[in-house]
Amino acid sequence: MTMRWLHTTAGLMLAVLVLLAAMACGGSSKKSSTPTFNENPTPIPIATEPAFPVTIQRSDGKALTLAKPPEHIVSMSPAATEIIYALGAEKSLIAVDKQSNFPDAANSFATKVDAFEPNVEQIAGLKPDLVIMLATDNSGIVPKLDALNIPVLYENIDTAVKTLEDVWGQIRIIGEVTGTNDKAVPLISGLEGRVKKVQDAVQGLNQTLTPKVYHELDSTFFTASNNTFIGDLYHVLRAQNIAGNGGGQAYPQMTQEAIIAANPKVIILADEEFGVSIDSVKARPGWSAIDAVQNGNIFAIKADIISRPGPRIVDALEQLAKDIYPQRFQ
Amino acid sequence: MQLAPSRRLPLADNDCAPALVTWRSLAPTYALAALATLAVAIFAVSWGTVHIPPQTTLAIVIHHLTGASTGEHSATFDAIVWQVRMPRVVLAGMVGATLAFSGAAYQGVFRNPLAEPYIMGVAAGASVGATLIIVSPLYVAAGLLSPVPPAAFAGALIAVALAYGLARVGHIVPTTSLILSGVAVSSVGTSLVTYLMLAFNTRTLAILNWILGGFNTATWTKAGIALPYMLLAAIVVLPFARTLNVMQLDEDQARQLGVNTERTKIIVLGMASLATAAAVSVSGLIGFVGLIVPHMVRMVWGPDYRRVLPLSGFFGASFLIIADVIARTIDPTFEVPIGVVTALVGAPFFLYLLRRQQRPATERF
Repeated sequence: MTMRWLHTTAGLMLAVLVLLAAMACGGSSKKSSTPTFNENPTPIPIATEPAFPVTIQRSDGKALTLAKPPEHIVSMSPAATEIIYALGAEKSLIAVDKQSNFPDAANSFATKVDAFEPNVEQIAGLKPDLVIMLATDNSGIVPKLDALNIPVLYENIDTAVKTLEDVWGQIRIIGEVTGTNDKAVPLISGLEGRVKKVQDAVQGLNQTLTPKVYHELDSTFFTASNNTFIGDLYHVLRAQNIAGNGGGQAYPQMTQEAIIAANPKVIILADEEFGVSIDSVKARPGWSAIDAVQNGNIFAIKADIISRPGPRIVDALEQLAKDIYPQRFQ
Repeated sequence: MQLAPSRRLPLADNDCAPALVTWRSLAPTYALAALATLAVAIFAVSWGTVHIPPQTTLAIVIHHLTGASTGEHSATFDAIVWQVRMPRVVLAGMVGATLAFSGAAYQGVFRNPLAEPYIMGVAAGASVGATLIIVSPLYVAAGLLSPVPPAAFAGALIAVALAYGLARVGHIVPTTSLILSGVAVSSVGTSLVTYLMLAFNTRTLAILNWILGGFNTATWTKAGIALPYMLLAAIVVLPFARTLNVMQLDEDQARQLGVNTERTKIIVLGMASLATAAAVSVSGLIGFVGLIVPHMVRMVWGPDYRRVLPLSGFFGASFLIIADVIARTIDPTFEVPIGVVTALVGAPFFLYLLRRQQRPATERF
């Protein structure tokens, strides 16, 4: 009987956890067919000087207003932590969540909060003047913190982050609330510049040279659809993601026969830390019929860099570019 | 076919019991059920999201089964039919048969309609075993020699042994104590899994995926590993069908009729648990089949365990094969969790049978 409870709970949690594949995947819903990047990006119309009070519209529709720059920030997701460090706002950081492991300094916090099963008393006890949650609020912590009048920046990764452009948007917002707009602008344009380089290099590729790619999130064939920031990387690379629009799901589970029939030219493994290896993929029965397996085009990528909508997502893009087009990127 | 089975047990009432039912007289029923299961399996292999002409599917299967040359086929079709679909169908059939057969055996021994293959802690024990491996550095998810299935198997057997040991009073194992100790062992296991899931939250998805179960990663290796345990259980438990019939009376009466109830309990429960552990270790936890299929069989073919046990096996196999076909084809490219399918398809059908049985006989047609 108890097992049945676990079953039901597991069922409910699955949808949720699929999205947490490596701690911070995201989203669903449609994506515009327009390219993510303009040839000439328009300047971002925000002030470069910190301007408090700041008001931000959260993902749940509520408004967050900060009268002055926060000095005691708790980060509830690794992507937020990475953005805060990249913006040089870490002086105000008093605690991070257990998954935050980058940069190295993030590992040295005496207090770590659990983002999966957050303890509201622990968080309140830290007396934060801002909690940043760039994740899906599965545990319902946001309303609890609201009830205690603790300011929360809640950006639902599922609905708010579906493209690289959305990642820049998160950097912009965290820049605003931490009073580091002046850092956010050059950080974003630096990242955009690197993306542009990759884009330029694949610009002239004709359609026959754009390979089909299978992106694996775990050993049971969960993958990322086009409507995710991971899918957007393949869009930038002009590769064809075999998951397509995922049948409406952001992170769908594919059937093996569909993968074999799609015959991808490249396989990207984001699950090497979860027990899958290039050799174990080669050994999967039936997979020897796949082009990528026959030609050794299976590549592993660290889940941490490709699953977090932070600045390192561009590292992931550059690595994928080298894996997919070895001749074009040295 | 007997559509209005006697509510009384065959051996309880000599007047209306089907006294002439012998193993031999049941052979045609078994043969028919086996043929139906085979037909379901053939349909399942030729049906998939990737369209492969039935004659190609057949040619590939015949080629691999007999070694005969049946012409050229693309490597992709060959891989899909023989390496992906066939093992998936075969494994789903084996697991469905085992869960339903074991469920029937458990219900027989416990004389409890809510008994199911997971009641003595098999599921919880297997989950603990699998979870411990998944959170450890030993974890190899997809390799052929993954340590997850053996650990799940071991965990399941340890849990059952624990439940059995805790329930034993001297030489006697009262069934009520057995159910209670099974539930207690299960809750300990479940809490342990929940704790591990939260403590190692980078592995939560892998654990949940394992628990939810399914046949997306089925291989011939998995089928080959599980088969011996399942066959052994079927061969050992089937001859106890008559004994189970007698035990439906009352344990004391059964004992007076010369049934060694303790021996029956340990052998039938032990074997059913062994087979269930093997099934769970290769497929994860698939609910509903083990509980409901035996009841469906009883509603249609009556309570004689010589019918209930084997027919549950065949019907369980067909049921899970069809559920898996739905799980893998309802969306052209993507999976639907099989537990959702077994419940959504099975529950209405079960309720229909239940309602039909409860109506007076005159209204049935």
